[in-house]
Amino acid sequence: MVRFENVGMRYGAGPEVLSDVTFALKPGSFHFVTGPSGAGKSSLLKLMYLAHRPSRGFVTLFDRDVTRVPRGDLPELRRRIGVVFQDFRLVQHLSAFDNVALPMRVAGSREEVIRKHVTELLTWVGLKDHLHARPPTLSGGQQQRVAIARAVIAHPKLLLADEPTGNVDDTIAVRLLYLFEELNRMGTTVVIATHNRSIISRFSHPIMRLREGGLVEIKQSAAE
Amino acid sequence: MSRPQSLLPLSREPSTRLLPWIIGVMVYLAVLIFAAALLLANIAANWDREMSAGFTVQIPPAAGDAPEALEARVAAVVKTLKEAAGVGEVAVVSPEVTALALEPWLGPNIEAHDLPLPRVVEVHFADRATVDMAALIAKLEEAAPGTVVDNHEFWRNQIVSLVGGLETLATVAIALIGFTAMAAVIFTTRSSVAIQRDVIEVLHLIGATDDYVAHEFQRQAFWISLSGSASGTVLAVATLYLLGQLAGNLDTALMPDLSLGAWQSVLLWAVPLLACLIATMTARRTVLAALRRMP
Repeated sequence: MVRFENVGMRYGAGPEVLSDVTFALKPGSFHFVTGPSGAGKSSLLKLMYLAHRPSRGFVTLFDRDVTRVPRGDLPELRRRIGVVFQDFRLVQHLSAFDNVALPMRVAGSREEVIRKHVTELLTWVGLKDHLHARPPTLSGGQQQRVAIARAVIAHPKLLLADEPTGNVDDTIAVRLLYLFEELNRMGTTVVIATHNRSIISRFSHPIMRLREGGLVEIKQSAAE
Repeated sequence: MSRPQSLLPLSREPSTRLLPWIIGVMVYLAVLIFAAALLLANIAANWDREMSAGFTVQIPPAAGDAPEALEARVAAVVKTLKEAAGVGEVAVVSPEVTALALEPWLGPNIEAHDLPLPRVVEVHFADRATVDMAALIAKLEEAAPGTVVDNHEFWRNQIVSLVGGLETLATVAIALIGFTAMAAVIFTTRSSVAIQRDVIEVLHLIGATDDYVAHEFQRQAFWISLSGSASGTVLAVATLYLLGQLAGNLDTALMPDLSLGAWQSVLLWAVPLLACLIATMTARRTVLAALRRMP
């Protein structure tokens, strides 16, 4: 599903923020990525959701070498990936409904199908009464749930979440993790970047630990 | 459920608010200039048609000629003209009418018979193709020496040259208006792409193609330019109507026909549609060029 081989990454002409990162994720796996601030968690996810290309090494996604994939092929690959951004990146002038509907509209789904699925999902994440609310009128936790709904609405093969529990209390955080596990059981490969130790210890999934841009260890679970 | 909201609300951006006005003014000017060029072409064509429909023969009086001798020479010219192949109506202009035509220069109290005015014969072609002008001129010279034939070539060349120049000027002016409007669309679109960069990035990351994003821009550019073009056209048509009313109040003998033909009206209405098309395509190409520079 995901393979990194000696991957290095830098922003512009700056120093490398990731160095010699090598790992492979099997389809249907569930991983936490952890490490202190500045360790490279977000940069690692950016490579995985194709916002950046590596400055060296090879990144393979869905059996395609994305370091060389033509720009025109990126949209098709990106549609297989769901992303929960650290800062949500909701479109501020669109309602919660329209934000969640975006991936389906981009993929060309019919409006009646979009209406049914988006309403169901927003109801499931507890935002049934906020379908038409715009992000600035929602709390941080509500915005995060809209962002998560947008990431999972199109049933992605790979779900990437950058600090998805950063703005919610522990109860909602656990509920969201159950949602991710549910998607994982349905075949979605899940990668969650977090430094929430209580969440990591509560769910028994492999942990990739980053430090200063390098992958220092992959543990099978927090208890290991 | 309400219909989907616009992904990129360009019309709310400060940089975009002026665009309908700019396009409206450009279309207003372009329609007026184009209408003027079409009317000018019509007037020139009418003049050319009238002037090439015949020619004028002048028989100057010879020194010491009695009036009867001049009349005899006029009669010889008329006879020669009527016998010539392809010549239709032949009308001798009376000395009084000639004097009337000269009144603006010589004053109202001239006696036609006191002045050595040439006699004028107006000739219309029946079939221009069969008239051998060189042979006819030679025969006229033989019938009445000193006869001058004016086929209006000089005036026709002057008018063709003037109209050609004005048409070139109109084309250059319309092209300049078009380029200015395109520059305004490019500038506005680039500003919009910069303002909407975050939204565009999100769209890309959830799998939107460049074409999908460009379509959003071109759709809105079309509606913005349509509103501007419609306003500009309505204003231009109102202006042309007012000018038509003013021209209608003038002496019709002095004024040429100022109406447009059916196909010319269609061409005139094509100006705002062409403006919409150019604005839409310019926005699309500008967005695609900007998107290609994004990751």
